[in-house]
Amino acid sequence: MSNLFSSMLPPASAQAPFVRQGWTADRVALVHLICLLPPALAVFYGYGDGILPVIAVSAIAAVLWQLVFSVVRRRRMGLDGLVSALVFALTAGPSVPLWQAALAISFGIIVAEQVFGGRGFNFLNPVAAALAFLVFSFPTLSFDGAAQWMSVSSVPAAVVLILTRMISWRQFTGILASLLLVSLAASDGFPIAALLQGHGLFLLVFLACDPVSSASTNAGRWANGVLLGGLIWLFAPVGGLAAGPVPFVQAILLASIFAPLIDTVVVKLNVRRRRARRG
Amino acid sequence: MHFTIRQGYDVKVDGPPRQVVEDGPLVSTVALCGADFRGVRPKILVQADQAVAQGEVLFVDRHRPEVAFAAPVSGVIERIDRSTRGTFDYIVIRRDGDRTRTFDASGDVREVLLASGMWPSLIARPFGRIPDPDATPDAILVTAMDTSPLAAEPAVVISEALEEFQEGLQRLARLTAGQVFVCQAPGDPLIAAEQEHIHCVRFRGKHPAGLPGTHLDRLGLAGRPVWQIGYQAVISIGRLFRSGRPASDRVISIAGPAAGNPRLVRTVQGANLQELSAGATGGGGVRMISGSVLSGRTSSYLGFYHDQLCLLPEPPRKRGFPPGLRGYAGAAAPLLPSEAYERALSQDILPVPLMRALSVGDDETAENLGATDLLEEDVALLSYLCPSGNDYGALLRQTLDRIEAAR
Repeated sequence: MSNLFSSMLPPASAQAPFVRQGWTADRVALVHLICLLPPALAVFYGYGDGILPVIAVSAIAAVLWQLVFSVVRRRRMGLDGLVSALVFALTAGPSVPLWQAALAISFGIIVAEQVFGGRGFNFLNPVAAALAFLVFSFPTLSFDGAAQWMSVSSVPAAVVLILTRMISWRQFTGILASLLLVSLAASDGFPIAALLQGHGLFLLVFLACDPVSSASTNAGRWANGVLLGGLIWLFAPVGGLAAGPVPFVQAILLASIFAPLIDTVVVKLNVRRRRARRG
Repeated sequence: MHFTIRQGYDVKVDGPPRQVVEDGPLVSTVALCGADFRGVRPKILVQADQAVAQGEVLFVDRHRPEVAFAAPVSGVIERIDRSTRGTFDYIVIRRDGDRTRTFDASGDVREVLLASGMWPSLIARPFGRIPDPDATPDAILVTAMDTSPLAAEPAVVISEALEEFQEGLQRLARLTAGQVFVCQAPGDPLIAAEQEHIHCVRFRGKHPAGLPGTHLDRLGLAGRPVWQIGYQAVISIGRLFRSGRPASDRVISIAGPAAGNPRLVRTVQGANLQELSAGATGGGGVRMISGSVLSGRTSSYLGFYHDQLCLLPEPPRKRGFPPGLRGYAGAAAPLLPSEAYERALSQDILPVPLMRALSVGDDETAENLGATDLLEEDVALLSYLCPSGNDYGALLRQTLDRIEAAR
């Protein structure tokens, strides 16, 4: 008899919380896509419609690989593949051969992201990996200079993404501060204008500050940012900042390899501090 | 003492309660819920159709038979829903008569609390268990503030039972050689006067400023054996010692977007939520949550430790993307390590490393990061913020259980 009754009652279930802030992975990706619209328009305005096939091919390749892994793993797929494809295509520019673009973005999505289990489980940014693949596999390829307004039109994205905490203001400030300090110390001049002329700010917002491939503690975010700024200067002293995306890609890849190490150090210090407090 | 909590979030939920206490509907059934008592293996002493008096022992902990759990009201056992693993879902009592056990109020505090079924109101940290009958804590924290969304204002409830509250504090002070800290929001002190062992501590800030996990961290008690107890349980203890009769009254907030008339009502522990939520508005069904929307649970009866009933509309069904792949659930959803989590914990604990350790079950790292200073409610904001849909409270509980078993 008691069994009959108990089946009528909902079990006391633990499935808290019953309200959520509402940021799902898809909404995060959607905000990124919207933030990418102004730079995309700037690139379209600067290069003409030659960029459209590159965007289309990258998007198809990225979504296709996401779909394949989604079906194999029986996991739902997100919109983040489109974000990766768009950032990649806008950086690569219109003169990259389509088959090379498809190959590079496939490499990025598969090797730097999907083999680890998808976005959030990876430690390298797939776009940075794809761009590095282009650089190393096709040395004859020369990147187009940045479209005018590309970086300037990324300013709203920087504001939105920082205010919504999708990218870290600590890391962003760390990059700018260390780049500024190193440049001034080396009497290279003022880097901000160069960042706004070239791919600089666009890549800082959409690649360098990717939370997945960056340090994930507050102290680590500062360190990660300072390291990034220093590496960018190392690979491209201020004169080269506006020349092309390559030094940024190299700095971002190297810094994201260090990110887990930075986090490990921060965690170790935190644990030691806790032990000391307890005595 | 005064602390300002910098961290925290203002979690907005529609339908906050009017902070005026009304008499609630007289519920016909009440129940004790097995899930409330973590780690207790119940030995049930009553059977269906048996008449029980208020304060009569329904079951004891098999491992510690002194720890008794009593009937909150006088009535007849309607049914006992036994579940697997030797515990029960609900012991339901149909209200009947007004028979009450009486206790010798001049007796030893510990013995009276154990015998009357009041003892389980105390929760021992770390690990969040009902304390052992012979244990002595370094301090007792009385949580007399509530920063959860939709909560009742404790000062309003306590103002109606000031003397009982003081009496309860006096009795609690005899359980510890250390201090009793009354943790409250800024404002008039809730204790009559500072006494040698009873102190008023004020905490200002957003949620989790009102959680005992925050309080013991600021008071420098993290990691030490500390007991926590809610302010309403203190009032009940005061009533017990003033009248000799056990008290199970609770003032709860009935609130939320689906509550027709969000308000504070006087009812009893374990009250039937269906009867309490009469008048709820919600087209597609109403979800009854015992406890806070952040860390409570869906239930048919008010939880033993809860003083909130949140009424939410039944959520819409989830859609898949792309539509053809509907139902492809993530086994382990990723977390995006954004800066937002850094304000969710009030302690000096690194949230993202902790979330990672909890979601992969890395108990050693979790313990090093400070997991044992936390209970489920302390990490509820992480689940609230995380797009992955992980329930870090449930994950923390599994980790704590394994750490405790290994000790």
